[in-house]
Amino acid sequence: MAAGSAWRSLVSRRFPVSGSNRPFSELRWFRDSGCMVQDPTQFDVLVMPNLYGDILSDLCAGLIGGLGVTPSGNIGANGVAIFESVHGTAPDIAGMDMANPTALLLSAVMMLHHMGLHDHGKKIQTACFDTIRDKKVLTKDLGGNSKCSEFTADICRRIQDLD
Amino acid sequence: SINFCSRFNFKVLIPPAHISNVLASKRSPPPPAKYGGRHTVTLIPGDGIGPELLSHVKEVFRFSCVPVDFEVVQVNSAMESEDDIMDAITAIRRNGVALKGNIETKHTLPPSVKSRNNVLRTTLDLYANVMHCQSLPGVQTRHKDIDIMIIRENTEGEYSSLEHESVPGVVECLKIITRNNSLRIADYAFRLAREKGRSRVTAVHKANIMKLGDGLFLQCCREVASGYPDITFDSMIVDNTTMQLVSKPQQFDVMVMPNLYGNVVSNVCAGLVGGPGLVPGANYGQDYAVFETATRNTGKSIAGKNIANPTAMLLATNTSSSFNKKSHFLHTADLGGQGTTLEVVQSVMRVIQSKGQLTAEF
Repeated sequence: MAAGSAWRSLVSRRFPVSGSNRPFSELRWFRDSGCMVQDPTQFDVLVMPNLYGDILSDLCAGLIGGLGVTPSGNIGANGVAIFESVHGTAPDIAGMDMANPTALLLSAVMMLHHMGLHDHGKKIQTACFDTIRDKKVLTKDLGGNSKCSEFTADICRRIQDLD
Repeated sequence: SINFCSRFNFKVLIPPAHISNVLASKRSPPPPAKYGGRHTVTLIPGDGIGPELLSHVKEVFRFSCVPVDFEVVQVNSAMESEDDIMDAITAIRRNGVALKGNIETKHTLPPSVKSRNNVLRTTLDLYANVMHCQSLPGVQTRHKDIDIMIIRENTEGEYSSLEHESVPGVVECLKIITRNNSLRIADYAFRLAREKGRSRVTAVHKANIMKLGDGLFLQCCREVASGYPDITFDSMIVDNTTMQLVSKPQQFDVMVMPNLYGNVVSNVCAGLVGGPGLVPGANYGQDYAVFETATRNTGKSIAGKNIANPTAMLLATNTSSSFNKKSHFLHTADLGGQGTTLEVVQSVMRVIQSKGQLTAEF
């Protein structure tokens, strides 16, 4: 489509391929979605217009465990940004100490990196990933029986150990 | 009621002309291109791996003594003129059925040059793209027991080729959704579901954002669904659909959707069952049918190397039901195997021969 052609030529012009540091390739996005399902590890950074991003981001969230563990950020001009989880409001479990805080926590980690607080961000992310990897204190959506507060407390303990 | 088009010797789901007041005229279908007991089918080799795969199809047909003759029509994707594709369309009008490889849409041509595949579909009004995506025995995939039919509206939506740049650097692209086409594709989906004994139809949309466009599509699906109380109808937003497909694809039965979503859902589903080399596709209109691979890839990078998977193209011809159910697979590279295209084709022919059917020389 013309819109696609204009977008493609704009990206190629402003960000020309420079040696082997930033290889730029284009893939028709529908083929992308098929390739993503078969071998997502071949992809690194993907840039695309709005609707395709909407679809592909949910597809990728499904590949890594769902919206409950997927962070996101909305970056604007002059450093203005909003970071948010993209799962629903889950009114059925609100106030019951059952929700999985990972998505919002990792979104907060993105925010810390955006603010330049990389050490703090890295520490919290490591602690969060270790807790999930350990599988001892998981919320119900991840197959465990623990409460949200217990999950959070485990992350805090690991952060303390990292210090 | 379901009409069987007398033009073809196989079942083609043609909607009856009485459906509300939205379908086209009640003209009778053209006579079949069948002479002396042999059918004539238009064959468009296309680009990339299309020509080599279709030559294998011809060989399998010859070997299996299928009473089909192919009228080959070449379409040059590098030409700006539409003469080639119009010749192909004329041939399909004459024969009624076509088998095609994908015709490359070259981005070096001006934007005014439309996709040849799109021109073919819209000119012949092949409004229903049907893809049957099912797990095949012997193909290792993360998810098993997938059996999804995808019905994709094939003529409008985001593929209407209506774009303009009124202000430099600002392009507007029109997405067209019509009541007429939405009703007929929904009706096609429900009729197909009933014929195949399916129990659920899911409409895929983004009506929360495109309230008028996708909202109309969804409304039309609901209207049609009310006439099929034996079939469960539900709807799902397209981004959630892709997420559900990669996590729990077994929940889906029949899916109906506008053009662009059908594009991505088809590709995702093909990826789920093993890749684009495995899934056939069909495009149906009132009078014509065109068969091709489901994901419409040209496969330029593997053309001429004898490594393309011929399964999708063979299944598109519906010749190889025995091949479909074969538990032992000689796998091509896309499935992690070492077999060449030719070896797979020969394996198919051996299976056909072993069934004791009349065959030609190997």
